[in-house]
Amino acid sequence: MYLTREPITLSAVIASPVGAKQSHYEIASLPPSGTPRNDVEADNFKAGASVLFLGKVRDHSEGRKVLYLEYEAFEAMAESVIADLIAEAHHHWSVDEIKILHRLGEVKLGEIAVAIAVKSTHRDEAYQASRFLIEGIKHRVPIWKKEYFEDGTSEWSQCNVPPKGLHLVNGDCCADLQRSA
Amino acid sequence: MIQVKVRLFAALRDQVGTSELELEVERNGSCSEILATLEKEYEHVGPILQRSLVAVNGFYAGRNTGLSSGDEVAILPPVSGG
Repeated sequence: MYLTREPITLSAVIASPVGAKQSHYEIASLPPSGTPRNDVEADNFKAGASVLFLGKVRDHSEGRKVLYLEYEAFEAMAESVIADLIAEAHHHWSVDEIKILHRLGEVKLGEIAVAIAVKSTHRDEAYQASRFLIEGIKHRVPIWKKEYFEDGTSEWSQCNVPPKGLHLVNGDCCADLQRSA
Repeated sequence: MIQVKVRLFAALRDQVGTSELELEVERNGSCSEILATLEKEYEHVGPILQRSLVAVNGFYAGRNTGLSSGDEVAILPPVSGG
């Protein structure tokens, strides 16, 4: 499960279950408390790079003051598209572990809306896979964000504009979508 | 005629006023007929529909994808997660 209505904590994203083999598709496992260090398998130390991306709720959008966000998803499909993205990342880059969590429902300013943790032997693969995953989440996964503004209005976010120079699998999006306040 | 379930999300759901509809299309009908029906029956949804993608039974599909009785067609406005 990659979607959660609970606040995302750092420990949920970066902790590996000590001594446990973890599936590439498993996320957000907290380490079992009291597990002795000598249970750690050699496998857990092969990753020399760990890249963590956190997308947080900021207090402004296109010059307007934002109070909070609300995320909605086509949940079953969003879960499977995120699983597809993770599989694609494993196919393209030699990474050891990927964890993704995305919030649903109301998310307050400063809270983590999305977290992506990638571990690999060397840094380059982890950075590249992390970037691929966040762009995939922003452009391919059926999740929508509604912004609630200080003036009492709210709007569904128009789209995620790709950063300049970034090639996207799915093309651009929604430049001419009418506002739906 | 066959009956399909249509799911609507985000801005489109707000404009139509419901998240689920049962619609009838011709046997051998496609997703584009669903979109045409929505555009005809609901005001102001045209621009969003033009920018939306469709999914059939949980997978992205082309607008010309043929439909079978009981299929679930999701209309997905431009996504904005992350």
